[in-house]
Parts: sequence; structure tokens; C-alpha cells
Amino acid sequence: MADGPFKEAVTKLGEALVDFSELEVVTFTGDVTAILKSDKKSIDWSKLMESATVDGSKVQLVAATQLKIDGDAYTFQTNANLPRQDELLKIHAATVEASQRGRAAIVDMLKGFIK
Amino acid sequence: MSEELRRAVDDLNLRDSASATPVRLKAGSSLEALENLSENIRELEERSGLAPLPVARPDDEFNRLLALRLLAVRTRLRLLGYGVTDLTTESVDAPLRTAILSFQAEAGIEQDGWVGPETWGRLQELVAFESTTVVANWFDADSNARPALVRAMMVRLGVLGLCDYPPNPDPNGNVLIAVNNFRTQITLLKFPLRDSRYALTPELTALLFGHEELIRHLAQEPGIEKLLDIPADADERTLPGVKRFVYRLVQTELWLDGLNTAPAAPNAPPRDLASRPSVQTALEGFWTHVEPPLSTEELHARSARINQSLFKTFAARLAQPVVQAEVVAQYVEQNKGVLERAWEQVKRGVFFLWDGVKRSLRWLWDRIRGAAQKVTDATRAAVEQAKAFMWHILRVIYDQASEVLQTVRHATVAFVDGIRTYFDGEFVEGAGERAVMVKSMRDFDALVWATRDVTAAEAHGLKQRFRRVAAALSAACRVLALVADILFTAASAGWGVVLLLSALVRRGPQILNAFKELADAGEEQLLLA
Repeated sequence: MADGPFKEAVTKLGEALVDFSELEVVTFTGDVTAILKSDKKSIDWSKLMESATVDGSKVQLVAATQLKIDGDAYTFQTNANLPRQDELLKIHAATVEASQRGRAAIVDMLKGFIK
Repeated sequence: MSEELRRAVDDLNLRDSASATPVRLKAGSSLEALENLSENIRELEERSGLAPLPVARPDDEFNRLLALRLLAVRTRLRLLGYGVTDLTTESVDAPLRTAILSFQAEAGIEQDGWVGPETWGRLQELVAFESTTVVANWFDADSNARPALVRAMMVRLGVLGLCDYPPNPDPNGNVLIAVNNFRTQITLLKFPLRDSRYALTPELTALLFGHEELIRHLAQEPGIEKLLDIPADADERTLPGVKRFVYRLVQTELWLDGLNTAPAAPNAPPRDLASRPSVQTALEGFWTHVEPPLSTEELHARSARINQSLFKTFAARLAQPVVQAEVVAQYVEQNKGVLERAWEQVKRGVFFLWDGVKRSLRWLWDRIRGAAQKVTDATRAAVEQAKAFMWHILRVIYDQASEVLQTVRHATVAFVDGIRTYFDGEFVEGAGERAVMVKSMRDFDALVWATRDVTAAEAHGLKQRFRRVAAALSAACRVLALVADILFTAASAGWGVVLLLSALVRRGPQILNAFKELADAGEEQLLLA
């Protein structure tokens, strides 16, 4: 069993632990050309936040969810009538669920290590 | 320790005074313990000899630690006639690599020169009597027996007293004569055969490698009683062919039961009769442990002959329930001192044949089920039985622990993949104007980008992929938490190899179930990627 990748994964986990108190998922839609990097192939994710407006023509905020570790939850959902809105909201909900599950798995495991 | 067990232990050359050598585990708590987990598992695998063979040429130190696993591979390849003459070199040297490549080519599997799960499994299919031989694996598209199978058939026929030639891959050579001889014997014993060709047929292959089916048939078939009636102290060289075949079947079954009459032992050529204890001696050991116990007269009477009644008893034992591995593990923990020392002194070459484990589980059923007996109670007086008993237990623990450690390896891979995905991953489903992408960031935050024309299909695809990663990470974390708990206790208490493996076996169902749930949900591909 190779130790390197495992230790690397644990190190990443350790660095992220401080941020585990909060989970944020933000979903956008729009014209893909607006957020492409200069190579026109990959997405510049940092541009999303800057470019997004609730009623913007190129990049539009669909939903945002913030979950606190104490159970508080805040959700924003656009009231604009977007094309394929149902699919977009399903994607958002699935991402929130998967992120929650991943975080919960890590937290539950770490409980087992604390003696 | 009682005098009875002391004598047994002395006979096995076990050092009563020596305590078990602890596995050198790193202790720690919280993230430190997690960081050490991988190293600790590797330390256990290497100390126990359960590490998989490396995927690249290892350094000398690693080779030394893999000596047991290498010995098992060398033993099998030697048995099949791949030119491995040296069983002692503790490294993957050029001759061993060549032999592995030859086997892989002859078995029709990927030729990478290393023994991974597939190669190991195929070797087991051919060598171990208890393995299920998937006959279809061993015939090519033109229905020709693969060369590796031909070699194994010659070994198996040799064990049954039907072939004196060393194994070779020629399907039209001596193996044909021996297979025909096999056909003659099983026809005399009234096995129904559908395929009458003079050839290496799948039907004959299934019968030849179906040791338990042979036993069951002989137990129930009417009209063959006289053919099965043989004095246990017979010189088999004087027996007619069919009786010698039956005699060898009995020898093999007794050997699988842990009784020392070993036709397939790697260092004993099939015809080297002088190297084996007599069948009569082994039968005495066998009948000593039936329930209810036999009188002395009855014990001697039954040990004196092979007959259909013996086969009925063999068959009944094959139908007997097996003791749960966790119960065996619990038993190990209650008798840890003796068993740790037994392991340190065991003759690894024979032990690592990895055969007879299912019989061990049945054999142990009567002795330790639901009871907190001591080794002394279970072994009664016979020294030979004390040895067989301890070997059965160790074989069960090793076999089960090997399976658990395999799952733990999958869990670490799934953990690493899951963390990478969540902390630095980018999913894309669909393309162009119908694409959806997720950028997962450290701490599980996520940004989602969907094009305006995204459809339900892309949405569903993304949801499925994310769900699988989450499920795999979740299962991996559950497994690692369980293992970490065991290792933490082992590090604190200075456990030896056997005790540590038995603890893994006790928690085995929880560990295996964590991954089985994923497999049941059709997500095993991710885990095994």
C-alpha cells in the first residue's frame, strides 16, 4: 500500500478541517463563453462570482445554499423564470446532498480517531 | 498451561517462555492516527506475510518482508512445473519473473510478470483442492485446454495415483493416457459421463478438479461397496488401479482435514510413499474426533479400513455447518499466548499452501462453537491433533484476514480518490451547450455551472456520479475508522500478528459489509477502479 498518496490526502484533509463549520454550494447558469479562460477550453471558476447577476444576461445565479455545522441552513433561489429551471435546481440539490454526505463521512470517521 | 498441552507444544518446538513479538505500530490520536494508518496497515501486512506482491521491483528490505508470500507463489509454480527449483530466495528474481510470465501466458491472462489478484486466483484454482475451478476459464475459444490447465491436470492425476510424469503443457502427450486412465476409474465407480471423446474434455476437467463431488458420489452410489473396501495399511503399489485411486482420494481428504498424510505436499513427489505417514495413522486421528467419541475398540476397527462408511462420514462433514470466522477469532483471543507462539514456529512452506480452510471451519465447528474452551480441552490428548488444531485455527485466521485486508486496501484507494475528488475535483457531464460542471473545492464547498440548454439527462448523470463518489468516500471512511480503532488498541497493548489479525477477523463482517453495500448498489466499479 503506497503511503504517499494516502498521506497527501490526509494532509489536504487536515488543512481543510478549519473550514468544516460551513458548507456552501452555489449554482450558476448562462452563456458558457462568458466564463471561459483565455484558452477557450476550460472554465475560469473565479470569474463566476464576478460575472453573476440575478438577472444578468450572460451569467445568472440560480441558487445558493449555506449549511452551518450547527444545523442552520440558508438557501437563495432565483425568482427569475429560467429555461430548464427544474433541472438546474435538481443539480443544485444533488450537489448539496453529495457535499453534505462527503463532509459527514469525514466528520464521522474523525470521531472514531479521537480517543 | 496443562501438562497435556505442554507436551503438545514441546513437540511442536514452541518456545513456552517467549512472548509474542509485537507488531511495530505507530500510535497517535485524531489526524495523527489517520496519517499513520496506512503505514500501520503496511507493517501488519508485511509482518504477517499478507502483503500483495509489489507492482514494481522492491528494495531488499521489502523483499525480505514479502518472503512468505513469495514462498507461496514459488511453491505453486514449482508444483505446476514452471522450472522454479529454488524455494528459498526471498526476492522476485529473474527466474521467478520468467516463471510467472510463462504461467500467465499459458493461463490466457494478462502477462505483466507480477502476481496480482487475478494471477493469484488462477494459481489457486489449479492448485487448491477447495477452490472452485471455473472450467470455462481453462478452455480457449476453440475448446482447447489451456497449457496451464494441462500441467495442473497432470499434478492432480499424479495426486490420484494416475500419472507418474512431471507436469508439462503438451495436451497430446502423457496427460491423454493419464486422463483416459482417470476415465476408466470413474466409469468403474459408476460416474455417469456424457462426453465419450478420448480428449481433455470440460466434463472430465470438472470431475478431476471436483474433489468434493467425487467424495459425495462415492458416499451414496450403490453397488460399488467392494471397490471402496481397502485395508488402511495396504501397500498401495499392490492395489488394483481403481482401489489405488480410492486410496489416494482418502489420503487427499485426510490431508485437507489437517491430518498429515500429504500427497500434494510440494516436497513430496506423488510416488514418494516413504515420506508420508500411513493412512491408518491419519484415520486414527480422524476418528478420534467424531462425536460421540468412539470406544477404543471401535476406534481401531474404523481406522483399519477404508470403506463406503468412511466416505459417508466425509460427505456428512462436507454438509456440516461451518463455524463463523468471528468465533474462531474470539477463540484466538482467549488462547492468544499459545497460538501466537504456534504461529512463530509454524512451518511456513506447507502452511502457505492455502488449502483446507473450509474444512478447518467445519472441523472447528464441533470444538469451539459457542464455548470458551481452552486449547487444552479442544485438543484432548493427541499431539498430532494439537498441531492440526492449531494449524486449522491459524489457517482460518489468515484466510479471513487476507480477505479483510484486501477490502481495507480498496478502502484506502477509495478514500484517496474521494478526498482528491472533493478537494480538487471537477466533474463535467454532457458537452457544448448541454453541459453541466461542478467544481468541488476544499472543505466540500462547490460551484456548479450549467449551460442554459442542459437537460434532465445531464442533470441525472451528474447526480449519479456525485452520489457514487460520496458513497465510496463514506464507505471508505467507515472501514478506516473501524481499522484505526483496532490498530489503536493493538499499538497500546503491544499485540502480536495473530492477535491483531484475529481482531480484524472479528470486525470483518462490519468491514466487509461497508463495501458490500456499495457493491449491491452497483457502485463497485468505482471502488475497484
